[in-house]
Amino acid sequence: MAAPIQKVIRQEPVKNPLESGSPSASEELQLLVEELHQSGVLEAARSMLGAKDSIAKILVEQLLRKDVLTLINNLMAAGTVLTKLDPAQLERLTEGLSAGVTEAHQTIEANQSISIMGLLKTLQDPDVNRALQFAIGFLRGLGKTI
Amino acid sequence: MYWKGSMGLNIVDFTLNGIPQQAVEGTRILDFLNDQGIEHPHICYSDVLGPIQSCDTCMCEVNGQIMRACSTVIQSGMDILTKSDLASGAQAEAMDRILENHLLYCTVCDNNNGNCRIHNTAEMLDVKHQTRPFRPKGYEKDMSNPFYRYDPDQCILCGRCVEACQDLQVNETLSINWESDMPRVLWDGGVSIDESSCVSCGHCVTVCPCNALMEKSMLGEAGFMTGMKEDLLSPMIDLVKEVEPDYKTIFAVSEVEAAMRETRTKKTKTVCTFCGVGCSFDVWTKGRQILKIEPSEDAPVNSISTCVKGKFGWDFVNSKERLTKPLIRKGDAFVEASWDEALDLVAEKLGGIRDTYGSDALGFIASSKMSNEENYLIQKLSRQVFGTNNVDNCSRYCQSPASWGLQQTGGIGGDTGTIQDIAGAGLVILIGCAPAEGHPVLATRIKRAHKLHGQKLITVDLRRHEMADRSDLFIRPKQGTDYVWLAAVTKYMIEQGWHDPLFISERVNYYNEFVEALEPFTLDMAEQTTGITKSTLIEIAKMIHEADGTAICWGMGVTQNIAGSHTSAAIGNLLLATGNMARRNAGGFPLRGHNNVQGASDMGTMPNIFPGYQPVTNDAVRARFEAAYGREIPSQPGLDNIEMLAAIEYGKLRGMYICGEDMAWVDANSNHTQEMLAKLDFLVVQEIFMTTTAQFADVILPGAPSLEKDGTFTNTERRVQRFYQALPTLGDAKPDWQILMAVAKKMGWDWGYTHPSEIFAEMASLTPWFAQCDYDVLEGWGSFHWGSTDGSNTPVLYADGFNFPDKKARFALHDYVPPVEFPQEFDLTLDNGRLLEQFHEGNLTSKSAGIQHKLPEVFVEISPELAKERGVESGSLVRLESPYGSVKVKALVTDRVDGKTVYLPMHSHSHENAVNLLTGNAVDVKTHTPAYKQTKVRLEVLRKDGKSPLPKNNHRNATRTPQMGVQVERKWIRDDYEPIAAVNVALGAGGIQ
Repeated sequence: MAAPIQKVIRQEPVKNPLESGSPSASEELQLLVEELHQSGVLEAARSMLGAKDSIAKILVEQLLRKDVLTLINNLMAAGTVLTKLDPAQLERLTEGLSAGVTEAHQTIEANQSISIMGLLKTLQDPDVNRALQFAIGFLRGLGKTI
Repeated sequence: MYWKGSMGLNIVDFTLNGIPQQAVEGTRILDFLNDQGIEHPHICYSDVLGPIQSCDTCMCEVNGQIMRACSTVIQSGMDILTKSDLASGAQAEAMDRILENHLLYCTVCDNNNGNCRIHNTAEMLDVKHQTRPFRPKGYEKDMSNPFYRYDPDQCILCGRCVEACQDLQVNETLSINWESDMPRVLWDGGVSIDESSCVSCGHCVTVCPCNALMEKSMLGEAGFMTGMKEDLLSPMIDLVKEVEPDYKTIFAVSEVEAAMRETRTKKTKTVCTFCGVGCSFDVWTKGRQILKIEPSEDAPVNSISTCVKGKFGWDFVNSKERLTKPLIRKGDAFVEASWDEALDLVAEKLGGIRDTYGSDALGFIASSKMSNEENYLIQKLSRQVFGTNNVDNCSRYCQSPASWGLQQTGGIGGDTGTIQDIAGAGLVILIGCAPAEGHPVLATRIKRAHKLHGQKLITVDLRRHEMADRSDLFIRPKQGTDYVWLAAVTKYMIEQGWHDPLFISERVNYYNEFVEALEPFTLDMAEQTTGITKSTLIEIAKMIHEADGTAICWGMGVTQNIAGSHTSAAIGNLLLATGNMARRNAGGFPLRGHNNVQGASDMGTMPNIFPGYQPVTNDAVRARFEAAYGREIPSQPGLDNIEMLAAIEYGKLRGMYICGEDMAWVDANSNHTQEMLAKLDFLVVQEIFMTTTAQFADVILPGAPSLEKDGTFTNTERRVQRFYQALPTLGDAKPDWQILMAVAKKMGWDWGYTHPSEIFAEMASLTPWFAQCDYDVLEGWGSFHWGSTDGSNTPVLYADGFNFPDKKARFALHDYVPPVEFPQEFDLTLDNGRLLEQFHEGNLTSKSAGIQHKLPEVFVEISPELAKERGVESGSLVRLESPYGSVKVKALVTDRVDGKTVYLPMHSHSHENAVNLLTGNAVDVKTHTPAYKQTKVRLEVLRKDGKSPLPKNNHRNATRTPQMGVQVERKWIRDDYEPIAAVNVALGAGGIQ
């Protein structure tokens, strides 16, 4: 004879060591891992690892696009140039460019038309003359390599 | 050369991108491309829904003109170009229009799972930028439905959802307001989803090509970055939009994320457990969490169709109420125990009862929810380990009479054909079944055939359910009199010469005796007995006569009577007389109510049969099983469910082992059943919840639902399908086949199976019908119909003759038995059965908050006439009382019931209002199935005023908006529609030209 019953006596749950007291180093680590797990970071990392072949395939496909290839080639060529330049010279050049651009802006803002005579006169300006010498030298060097 | 289906056999020659090709006449360009594996853009088209012609992305150049590949039939000499400038330009233009309606924030979209049709098509079309900027439509998201949401801003207006709702599911709720300034999808013409006639079947969500319609269970869960809150998500989407490196980069990033999801989201094929239709689909899970149910066109029964329970009703699997440890009764409580302790006790007690009182003092109840393998093991446990034939299953409560009737006539107790044969029949007759409530996906096939393909429909039922509303002829006979009208119609048809004399003379025995037996069933007599007028009876006969194929589906309204078996045989007789068996698109279809009620019986969990309906009384058969099982097996049938309960009363049955069956509520006359369960010396219940039956147990063993194990189920079509383990078992719960093995082992029988496939193989080796079936045949979406003695796949029965020695069918000659008489004070007929949302006594579906939101409680449906007479309103509390017991339940006044019939759904496991507190002890004359439907009650009003038990947001309170498909032609006549194709011609519904 068995009457219907619903009451269930459960076994005592095992206590979670993380819920009490100040954690030890290994428990700290466990907590950190738990946090990473809760935030989904570990899961994402694991999934990325799991999908590494698919992801690599997608990335390679992206890299093989024509515009991307051109970009890569340009970056690499530019990189080569950068390795051959003397940093000191480059620094002087970039400073020069900066100063040149500033001066150029002022000149444009003055908005004075230039006559042929005025142009010849300008060549005698020592600053302009030095820049021209640099430019002619650059053109000579460039001409030898192309 | 390319062939498609059964279309014409003429071949047409044409060129595709300059290469000569051939196809069968009638083939559409897109079907040809798809089947050849030639990649071609398209979004709105699918095999199932046909050409909708709304997305315009599939354009080709055909003989110099732009044409849709989806709707253009290949003609002889056609010159088709799929990648010419003209074609590509048209495709790009179409995609641009789509992207005006849809923002590509794929990486943070929950639909970024590799199968988004918009994403994939945009990528295929090499879209880099769009010329029309995206613009929102100015409507709020509709989050009102508990299961899914609609985001108008992501909706591309392809109309797939509307097509599916109108013409595939045929619930007729969705439409698109093409004439509006800013069209969108509407529910019932413009109410919120929750308040609409939507039945949450999920078709629209399944066919949506993007994230406009999404399962809520996916939102914030499917992706790695989709869980962020709206205030972070919106700026993130804006950032993606502003930076917009170009779409190719967006696609690349989103594909990386999709590939990551692929490693986390597990996709497992399973078979639904909410009725006997046998829908299969993938379940997507993340750990133990169910992300969604994903139907597939490959599913052999349901394709992409689902109902609310199959699509959204799985919350019970992760319910906190699941049993996770073996429990042993100690005093007035159950105490958690180890498996060893629990199994030792089971072995000791059951073994003790056997040793003291004999094997037949034990009884075993198998489960229509468990797998074939598990049912096979239950009968093996009973017969081999304990030496008794006292084993039965719940088909005793529902479908045994139908099986019996079919066994008498054709020789096999199962549906004679498939769901395709129901869909293809010229006439479907539904008798005492409400498939739109109980077998929703099967109902969709009838509703679609009726709406689109001219199928005729007759419904015979006490209750005006949805199928009755849709019928050409709806008949309410007097309860329990179906035999009479069936016999009268058969007799009338024979008299008119509308029977099939050739079929009868060649293939059916006992014709003369049958004609004689029909003698009393004149139209007059039938009219008097059933209440169906003579003209209606003649109309039924005429419709059967005129139809190319009549399929008769029946359910509990027939079987749960005192002669449901005879009525089922009368159905068989009518089908035989009119030649509607042993052919396609016709036949007899008892609609099985549980996922494996067919399989449980097939596996021999019945007192008189071994697996495959092989009689235990047959010496040769028994010898085969005795050899295999290594022991003697009783030569006489054991006790069935009903007899077991009686034997408890007489002290003959002392111990029971009940697997996954809430017998306390499912058997008729619950008070009596529970009294008997309480009397047992020892009761083992194998369950997933603390059901009322389990509360009587001495030991409860925690089993596993289908998602946590492997196995096979057999659906109503006799179709065996595999399901795979999607989730780990919960706590200490075990797959039921492992529990049964462990019990056997404790009793000294080491079965040693390592996988259910080995159990299936053993069963098949002993059962000729399954000789050609194994787990390889059933791999993935594969399936197998048993039904031939050579063990071959048999979708339609009896092609090679009926299942009798002379291969001829038999007219069954059994009498009409009038329904049980009740004392006059019990003046109301108590109809009972299912409602769409809930399942059985509600142990599973009541765990779903969404389902509870839609249908929270049972109620009794009362007709307006009766309500007026008794002063009842919707919400009144009434008492129903039968000679066996009483219930207290709220009333719902509705014209679904008529006059003095009331309807009480069975979805309750409460001592207050479970229907079987009212049902009685009368049983079917042949099979002992309780006559649940022959119950009469009286009604007492306890309180007049109250809140209606049917929530306002239940679909039954809304009005549908039927139309044919999405009606894309209304889009084409808009002033702002610039045609892309040279030809825009609307097709008939379902893409029929």
